[in-house]
Amino acid sequence: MLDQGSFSEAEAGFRQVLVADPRSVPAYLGLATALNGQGRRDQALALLLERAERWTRSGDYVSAERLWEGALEIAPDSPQALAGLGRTRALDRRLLSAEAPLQQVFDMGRADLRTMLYLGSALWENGKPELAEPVIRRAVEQSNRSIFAVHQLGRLLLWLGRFAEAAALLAECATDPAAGGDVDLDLARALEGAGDLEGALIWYRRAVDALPVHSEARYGLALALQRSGDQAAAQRELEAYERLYQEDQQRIIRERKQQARIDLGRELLRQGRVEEAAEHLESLPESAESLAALAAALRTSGNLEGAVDKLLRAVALAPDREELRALLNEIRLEQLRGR
Amino acid sequence: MRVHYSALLCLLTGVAPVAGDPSSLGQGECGRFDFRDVGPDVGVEFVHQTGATGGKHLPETMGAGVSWLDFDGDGWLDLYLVQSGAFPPGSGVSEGNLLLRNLEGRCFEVVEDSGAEDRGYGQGSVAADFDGDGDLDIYVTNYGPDTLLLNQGQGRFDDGSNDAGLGLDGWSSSAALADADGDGDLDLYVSRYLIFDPEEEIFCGDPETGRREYCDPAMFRGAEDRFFRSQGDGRFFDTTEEAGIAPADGRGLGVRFSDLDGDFLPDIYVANDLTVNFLFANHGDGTFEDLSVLSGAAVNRDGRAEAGMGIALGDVDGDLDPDLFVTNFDVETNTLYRNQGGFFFADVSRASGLGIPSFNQLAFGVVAADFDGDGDLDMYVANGHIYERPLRENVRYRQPDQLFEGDGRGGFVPVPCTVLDERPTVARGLATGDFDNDGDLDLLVQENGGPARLLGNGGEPNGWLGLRLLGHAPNIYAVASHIVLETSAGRQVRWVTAGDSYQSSSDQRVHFGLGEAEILSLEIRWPDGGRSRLLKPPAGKFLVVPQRSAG
Repeated sequence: MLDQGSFSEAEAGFRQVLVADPRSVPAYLGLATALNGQGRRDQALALLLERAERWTRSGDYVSAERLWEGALEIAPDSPQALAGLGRTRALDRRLLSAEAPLQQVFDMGRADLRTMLYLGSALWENGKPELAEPVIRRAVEQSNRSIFAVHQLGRLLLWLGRFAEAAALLAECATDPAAGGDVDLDLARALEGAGDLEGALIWYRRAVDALPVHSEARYGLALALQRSGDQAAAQRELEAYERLYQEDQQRIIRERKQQARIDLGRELLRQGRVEEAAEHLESLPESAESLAALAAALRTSGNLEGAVDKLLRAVALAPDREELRALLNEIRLEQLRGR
Repeated sequence: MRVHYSALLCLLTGVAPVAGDPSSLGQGECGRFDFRDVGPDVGVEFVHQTGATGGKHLPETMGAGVSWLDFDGDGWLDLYLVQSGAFPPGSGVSEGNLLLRNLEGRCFEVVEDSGAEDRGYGQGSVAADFDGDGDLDIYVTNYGPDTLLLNQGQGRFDDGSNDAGLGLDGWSSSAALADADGDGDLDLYVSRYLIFDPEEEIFCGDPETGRREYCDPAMFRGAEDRFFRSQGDGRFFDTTEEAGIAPADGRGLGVRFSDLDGDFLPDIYVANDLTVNFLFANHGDGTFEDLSVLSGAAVNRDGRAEAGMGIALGDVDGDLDPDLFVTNFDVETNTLYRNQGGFFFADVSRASGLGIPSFNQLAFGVVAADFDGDGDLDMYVANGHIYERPLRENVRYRQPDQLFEGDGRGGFVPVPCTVLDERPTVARGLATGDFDNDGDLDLLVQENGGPARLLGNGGEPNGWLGLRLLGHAPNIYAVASHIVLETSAGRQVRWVTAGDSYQSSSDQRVHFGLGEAEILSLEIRWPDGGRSRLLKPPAGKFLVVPQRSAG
């Protein structure tokens, strides 16, 4: 269709496809090409950037990446597309691939605070902390010492063992009303590393107040108390630490085992063993995740009513999960069509 | 006994190992360290088999270890290589573990029909004199029942597990020994990984594509480590509870005995995977106190439990106490715990130079030793991921091992090393020993599902001193002895060890590099409290030092 140059006709076609399947990546890319072919470049770009951003936010990194790349075909130097592509890859834990587009935006002088922080993180995790430092410093300067940037720089220097420098930055963050317990904890660690045990104790205590169930904060406080000679208080904190640590361990085992059981249901479904999948998923403790997987199995078996029922419960358990609502609507639509 | 063909060929053709002959090796493989893979030249040909068939069962990716031991007492280090084989155990034929005899440092031959094959699903091994009869036995850790192989002499080993009260079932990883209760014989600590059922109804991997991956160990409960006291008559009793060790239900991997607080009692340190590492302080009577969390060596500087794998122990900063180095997962660093005395340790990983280069590596075996013979400890780290497609893009499945040169003051720098950098592998077990008795330390690295690599050290020889201690029976190998060498350049310390690194055990002889320094004296603190002092012992050789006539 596009080869014939009938871009306006193509535009209408792709819009129709998107009405039927709002998640169709080829349709978005096709629509953008059709718009661009009609000289509506900005509109094409805006379409892809908006959708890519939305999919990045919802965690659909594969689709988002294809749209960012589509946007870069239309506008190869688009800072927004480059930054988005880098950010999506970083969120998808592909930090090596993330580095180049983020660096390109940075080198163009068009990187905003978020882009610079992502680039800093990518360089840091890619084993180049010495390159991350100037990037994050630039973020600090350019953002008029945003607490996020200063905290990130403080964290990097803390990680590098440059405790006194880190402490100065983290102390600056700690004065900000928006600072949370994580800043307090990092500052405590930096002060302790720099040899200021008294200061460390103050900030460990604040961290524990702000993060009462954070086992690592308790641990830091316990060791600092021990070093300061207050063995009784150290012991109390250690006991609290051990209790929280054990609770964390139990929770991790429970959650990860549950995930692996749900994934077994999904795998059975993928193999076409629908009844087995449904039976297996039915036997699991109820969670939004297990109910969604069970709904998928019921839907595949044609039991749309059952699927809707499970999804309603899933949505009740996780009201913020947009994709569950979308799936629910999709199945309801199927039900209506069936009738 | 039959002689393996390749070793025979090696003998007939006179292909001598070249590890100690720099002229035949050329220079520059690893700067002045000059490690070369000499295994194929000297008959070390062993391929570890995981038995993996796509089911992605966790035990497949965790093995295997290696042990250096002079099982025939001829003064040359022999090798024991652990095989895993078909999974689940018993579902197929395992080739069994391999015992290789060292023919005067020139070649290794397979000791056939030795009885040391142990066809369990092997993980690791430790060599020690379990029955106090003067020769080295082997304890094999398995996924499935462990096996004690008692050395009967003449290259024969018998399974003594049942009679000894060992043969622990479940999933054991590493083992280590020392006379923990002061009664003269060696006691055993077995670190155990986790409770794993291959039939459990779970799926790990990507359910969208059906591609399986090994499960996150964090989803399994840790198995309880066990501590066995020797009765002195070849029998061992499980005294874990009475010893104050239970419930040691971390996911145990590496384990090490050593005197950590300077009271000459061997303490226990265990590297646990994603749970706090254990430090058990020895009371000297067979009981221990759990000082793990208090010690600072249970978690990293941020209070986070890391994925502990292997343990290296040595005095890296020259203050004569043992520091601990634990290998970990990627996104974590390997962690150096500097001993501050009184069972207190500080995480100095970043400052040491060992931490940051390990950030994108998954490390298992690790050894601290003076590989360049300059008088301070260096570090060798064996790397390799468990996931064929690691979650993070900047992490590889096959990874190069890493060599770090120590400065004797706690600092390390990575040493570029062609033989390692150009051949990334999935390494697990690692042990060091001087197989050709040339005064420098060689390395044996075992790959998971791949070959064993014998890295011959062919660097320019520095001054050195080797010691083979002859303790009082039944601890004839004088395990846990503490040795201080005084030279014109300062003092160095070593501990005799049975079980170290990851699922492995290194040479029980002690090696000191001297650089250009002259030896002034040698002081030995024997496991039973006896002391010996030697003035100006000769350098450049292995000295056999019997306890009774020394001093």
